[in-house]
Amino acid sequence: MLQFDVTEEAENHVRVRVRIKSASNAGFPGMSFEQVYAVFDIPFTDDASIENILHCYTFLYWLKMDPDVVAERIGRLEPVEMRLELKAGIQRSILINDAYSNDLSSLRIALQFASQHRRNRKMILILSDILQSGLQPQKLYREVAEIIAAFDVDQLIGIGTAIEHIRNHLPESTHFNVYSDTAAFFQQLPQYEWHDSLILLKGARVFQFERIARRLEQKAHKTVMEIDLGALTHNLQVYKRLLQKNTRMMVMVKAAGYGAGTAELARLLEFQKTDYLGVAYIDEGIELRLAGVKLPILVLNPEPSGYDALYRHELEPEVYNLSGLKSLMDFAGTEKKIRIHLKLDTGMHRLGFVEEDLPLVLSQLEVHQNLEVKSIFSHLSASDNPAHDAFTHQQAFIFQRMYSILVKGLGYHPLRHIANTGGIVRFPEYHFDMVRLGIGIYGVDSCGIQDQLQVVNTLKATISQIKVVDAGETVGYNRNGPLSEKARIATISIGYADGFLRLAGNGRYSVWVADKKAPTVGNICMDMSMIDVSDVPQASEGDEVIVFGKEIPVEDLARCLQTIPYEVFTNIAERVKRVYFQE
Amino acid sequence: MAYTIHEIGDILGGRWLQKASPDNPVEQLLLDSRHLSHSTNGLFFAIRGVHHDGHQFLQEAYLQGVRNFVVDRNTEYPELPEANLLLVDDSLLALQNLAAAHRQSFSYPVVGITGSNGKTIVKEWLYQLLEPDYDAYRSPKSFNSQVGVPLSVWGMQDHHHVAIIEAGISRRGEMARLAAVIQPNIGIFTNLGQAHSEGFSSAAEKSRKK
Repeated sequence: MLQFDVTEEAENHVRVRVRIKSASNAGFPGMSFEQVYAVFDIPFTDDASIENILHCYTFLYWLKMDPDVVAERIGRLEPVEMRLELKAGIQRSILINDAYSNDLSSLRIALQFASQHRRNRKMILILSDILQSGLQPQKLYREVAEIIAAFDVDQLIGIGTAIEHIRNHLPESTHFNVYSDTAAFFQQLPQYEWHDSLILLKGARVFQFERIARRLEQKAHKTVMEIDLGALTHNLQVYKRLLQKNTRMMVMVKAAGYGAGTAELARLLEFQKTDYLGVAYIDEGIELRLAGVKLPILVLNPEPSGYDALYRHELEPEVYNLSGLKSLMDFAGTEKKIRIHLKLDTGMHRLGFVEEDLPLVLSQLEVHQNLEVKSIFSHLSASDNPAHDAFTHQQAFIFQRMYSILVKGLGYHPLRHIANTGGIVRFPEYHFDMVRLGIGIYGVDSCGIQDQLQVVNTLKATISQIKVVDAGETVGYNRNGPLSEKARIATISIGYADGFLRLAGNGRYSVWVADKKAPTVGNICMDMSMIDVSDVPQASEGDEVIVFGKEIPVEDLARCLQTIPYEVFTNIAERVKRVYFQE
Repeated sequence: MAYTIHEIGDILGGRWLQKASPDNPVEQLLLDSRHLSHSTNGLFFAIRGVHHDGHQFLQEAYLQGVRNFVVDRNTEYPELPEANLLLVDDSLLALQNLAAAHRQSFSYPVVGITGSNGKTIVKEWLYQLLEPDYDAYRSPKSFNSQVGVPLSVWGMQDHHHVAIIEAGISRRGEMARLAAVIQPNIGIFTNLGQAHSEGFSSAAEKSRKK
């Protein structure tokens, strides 16, 4: 048995002593035999990394690897980059850096991820030699070429001495250049055209593709909203599990995907075989179509002035009153085929037909058979609040009654749906043909399943400057609250114009720095805020600050801003860069 | 290791609903009609999941060139005229059995990594530590589920010296099935944190499973 003891903790490493312990078997109970086997340094100081390395160490001991070799290799371990990340690249390109491993299966995974996000972009693959595949170069690179062809890579930049073997197997449409090493390519890099392309970097570690990545990355945006696509998928599955097998799901991606950005989400949802998307405006729907999304899209507030675009992009309007129905009919005539969705008001008293309207609706639709009623739906006002359950049941009852009237008149059964995020969890009896998932997919729940959901959105800023300010001084506009004692004040790159509202100022909210909360000081400014990092001595300029995310739930900020997470998300300004990633 | 579809039929048992070309080589195992790249020498497993039933996507796969299928729905498949069609009791189990049989053809050490946190990091670090003098195989990215593990194991080849396979479990009974596929010579349990505690009645039960 190995016993590990940490004998020394330094700033950037810990020293570990390994002893072999074995119980004496010579009839001396309680006696044990031990000897120091090795001493080595771990180039990390956090508990998780130390524990993980001790697991590795134990395995290598079992393999009987020379302890000196093990110690030397552990000393050179680098952090594992676990996720594929989409970054903004130079010349409006998108960059995916997977420069940590390079084998056939990880190449395929990276290309899948890339093609999910390429839209109409040209795809450029920068690929190093593939080492240790165990295959003959001819066979290996023929396989690589097949993979590349399957994903329609437009341009291949090969780096290394073996990758030349791929040339004869590539489709003619793939441009191919090859460089003997990273440095040779680096010199030619400025000659390349990267405009609007998607660049995938895939290189074995020894080729040091990090250098290329740094060069191709757009200068870091200081304030970003990170969107975890893996968490989004997880949350989608959590809600799907609550449905009967044949119940469809519409996901609301309106308001720019509740602040997360629309097109990327929509493509993911399409990939996950969601049935329908919902947007608020025709423009939002067009954006999705231009991004290549083919799913049916419901538009909740279609303006008559946009009907032509709506028709051309095969968007499906909600129709909620007689004048809207009339203007749509005027546009459609008796020829243009349009799928429509009838919205019923069952108690929300926002948009929707009331029961008295229905005979007229039916007689109009009788004339215009080219308008197909794809669904009939309504909205629950308080599905997440048990205090109003009686009202919710009443809404559902009215909905069913109105639905029957319409079905009788139409002679067919459009999809029937009323359940929103709260309704999905709390009212399975009202799932009907389809449900509409909104904020839940973004990881926010108020119906008791919060612990099953994962955090999707993380809002991050950066520390621009740190200074020590004396007691009695004030920080920021209007000289609020003189400091009672000397404090270390950090200025961070987020302000009310980004969506970090003034209500969060003057200590009413704390952000996450290193591994602690640090309260705001003084008023929030337009583009910046100040926080007190006196208790976070390790905080330094350039460090990341988390405004909300896993560490601090968005609900905390919502409470502080006297609102709900919906409003916090949708308030995040467009100028805050969205970064999408997948573990 | 190269298999023909005929040999795979022998490994899996089951009944041929249709046998068009028994000598078709099989290199890739396919589960998802959206991800087909090596279609012609692929074998598609129609697995019934919670949300999707692989049988719905047979034709889509066929149109992309797939000619070998394992199904567990005993019916007619007129849309797949020139395919080899093997009917089994449970496609997921068949996938796992095939991977388990493939695993048995190698005698080099196989390490199984499981636990709540850090599996992938331990796997990647082990790979970095072994890489200079071992031709190590490791499961790709996060292929650690009931279907991911068989796919991982399927990637093991003769030339490797050691295989590092990650296994995730979230529900009772899953570990036993994955262990049968991986048949590890040695296991690593990374820390049993709280990350995946849903589905287990107690922490004690959880550590017993690992």
